[in-house]
Amino acid sequence: MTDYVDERSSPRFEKDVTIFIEVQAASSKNSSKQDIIICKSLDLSSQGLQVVLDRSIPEGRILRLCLDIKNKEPIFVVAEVVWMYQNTKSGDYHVGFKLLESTGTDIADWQQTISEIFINAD
Amino acid sequence: MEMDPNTLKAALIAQFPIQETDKPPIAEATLVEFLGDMLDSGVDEESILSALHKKEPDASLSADHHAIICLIDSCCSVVITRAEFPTEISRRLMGVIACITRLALNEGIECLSQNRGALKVLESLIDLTIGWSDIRGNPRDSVEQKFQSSLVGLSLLTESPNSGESYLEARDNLLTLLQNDIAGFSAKEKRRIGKLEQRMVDAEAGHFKTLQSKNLAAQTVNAAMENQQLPRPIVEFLQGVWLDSLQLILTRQGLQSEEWLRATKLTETLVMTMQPENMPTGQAAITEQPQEPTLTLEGTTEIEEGVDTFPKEGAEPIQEPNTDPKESLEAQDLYRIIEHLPEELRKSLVALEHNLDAADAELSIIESIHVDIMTGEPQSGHEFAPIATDEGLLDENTSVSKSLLAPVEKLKPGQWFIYTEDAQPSRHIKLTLKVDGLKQLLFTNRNGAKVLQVNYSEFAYLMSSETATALPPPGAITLSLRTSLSNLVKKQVKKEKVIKERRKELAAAKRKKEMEDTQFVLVAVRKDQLQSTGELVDHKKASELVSRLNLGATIKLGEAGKNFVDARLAVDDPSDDKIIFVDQTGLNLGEYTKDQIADLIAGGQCEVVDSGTTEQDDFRSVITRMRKKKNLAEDS
Repeated sequence: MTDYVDERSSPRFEKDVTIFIEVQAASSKNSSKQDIIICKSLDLSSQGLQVVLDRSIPEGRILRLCLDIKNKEPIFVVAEVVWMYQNTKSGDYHVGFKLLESTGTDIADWQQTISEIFINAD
Repeated sequence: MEMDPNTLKAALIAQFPIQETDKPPIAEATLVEFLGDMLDSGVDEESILSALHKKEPDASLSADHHAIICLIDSCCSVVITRAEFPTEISRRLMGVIACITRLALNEGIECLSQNRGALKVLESLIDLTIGWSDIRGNPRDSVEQKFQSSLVGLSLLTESPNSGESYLEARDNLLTLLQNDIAGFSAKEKRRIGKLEQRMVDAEAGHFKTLQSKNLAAQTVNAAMENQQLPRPIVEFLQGVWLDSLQLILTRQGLQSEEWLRATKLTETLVMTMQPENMPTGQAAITEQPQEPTLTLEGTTEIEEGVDTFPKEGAEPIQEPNTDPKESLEAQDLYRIIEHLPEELRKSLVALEHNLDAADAELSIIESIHVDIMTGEPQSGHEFAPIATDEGLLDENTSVSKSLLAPVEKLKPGQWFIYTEDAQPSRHIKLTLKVDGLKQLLFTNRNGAKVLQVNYSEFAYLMSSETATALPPPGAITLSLRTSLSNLVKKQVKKEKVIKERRKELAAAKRKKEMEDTQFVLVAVRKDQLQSTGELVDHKKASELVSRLNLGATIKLGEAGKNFVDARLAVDDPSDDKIIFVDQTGLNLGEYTKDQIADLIAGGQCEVVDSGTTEQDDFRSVITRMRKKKNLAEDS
């Protein structure tokens, strides 16, 4: 079990939404295939999210994610794995992502959508 | 645990961040003065933070003041609020918390962990005032006097802002003395109340047992009699002297005794022998044979010459006819039971142990009825109601799950609870007696008077419905604050360690890259080759290439012809002039500025494979395909 430091400071709320994670990008060089996981979030904030997976992802990995909400355009972001631990009872892996600012991503849309979800949840 | 003040401060602020505001922060001196006033006047609000906001709505707090106050509120104020003291007490106790907050601001929050004099005074005052609303008469006056004088003492000891070491040491010693004085007074009070409680317990223990015995005896008899047809004398016997006897056996010998087990068995047996259908069928054949002498209702007999008469008194019991062997065996057993039953009943008929004539009379009635039944005399069933029992809150159809019972079984005498009745102020009650064998609980108030008696199941329900809530045990506040501080520091230390390590790694990677960048390689190149657009690109062109890179762009990092590593552009943050390249699995291969990448390209240590376009983005296309499929399915 990996120790993790909870660096999260933004308010977060429990919300399960569908998340796509590209754990391996395609490569023409070695013909390795793309590997995408579809999972559910446990909680979301404007700066990151926590998901539950059935495999581990090492800390420090920078991956592409997509937030898939019904009736909304998919939101693509880049995030770094900042912590991960395995739930010894269920065997699931809880992974914490921190969003990274970058052009070519929808981070502004992410923050907007999170605010809307948060307001509607109230 | 040794706490570095800076680490602690950072940890507190991280745990209790303040919302950004334009309001100016209250100066520390002013804040300290406000808190000092609160000790004298009391605090009506549920937290020190809300009291300060109310006092100065147009000002805010600094980040570290806010964090310290939030911590103290979360460990101390919340205990006072949940304990539901009467208002006059809670506001003064909150004033003590304001005093503790003042100390923390003056001397640092870690002072509360190192010297717990002030916290102990608070704990002692809470202990002194539990059950306040029930204290009456002279005890009330003396407790009130002690409470007020303690508050004055606390105020005197903490009002000076002197931070000299000698002063603080002397102050802390005096705080300890004050706390000992309060605790000593409380201990004396408890001894006084303890005597009252013991008297009450001694009286109640007997009543407990009697009540429980009565209930259990009644339940036993009711269970045996349920749905049975019984003659009137038997009903009266079972619900009368037999019930009394069962109760006596329970009280004297207890639930697990042989006497009780025998008595319950006898109850069932007696009822069983009163059921005609339990009589063997051969016997019925005897009574129907015309040759057999019969008893008419008038008591006359019709005797046929030469035939044996009905057994006279003192004669041998009736012999069973020649029927089925198995049935004969059962009949024999039954006869044996009936034969000995009266004597067995006599042994357990302790309610009449001093009245043998009455016992004889009761038993002879039973014998007589047995004879009647065996001879086929029709018996009319007497209607009867079950014996009333004291069910308490839960009826026989209601049971409590083990998970609810578990906390009740762990309760220990001496624990205090907040008891909230409908539309009544909450009261503090103390578990004074716990009778595991009978599963009974008895509660008293501050005066040592009984206020509640329930069984385990009933109290389990009261707890789960939050009618009864446990008060925090003594020392809870001090423990909570120490634990919170310790955990905060550990968390912060861990966090700083991780950050430090990450920085080290990044710095090492950067150094490594810089080392590679500064390596000079002498290459013999023909002039015409230099003029072509070969491997070496000028810096301007390299910069143009870099500016056209999109997310997902692929480059090769390394030395031309040797150990090129495929890298993908994962992050492009113009605000920080930061580009991050990763491998296929997201492993960070390096963080660069655009200039650095251009340098690498110009120097031949980097080669752009493709600049990345949205159309080539496999990730997006997968998701778009899936969403399209999902939408079509929903539409249909």
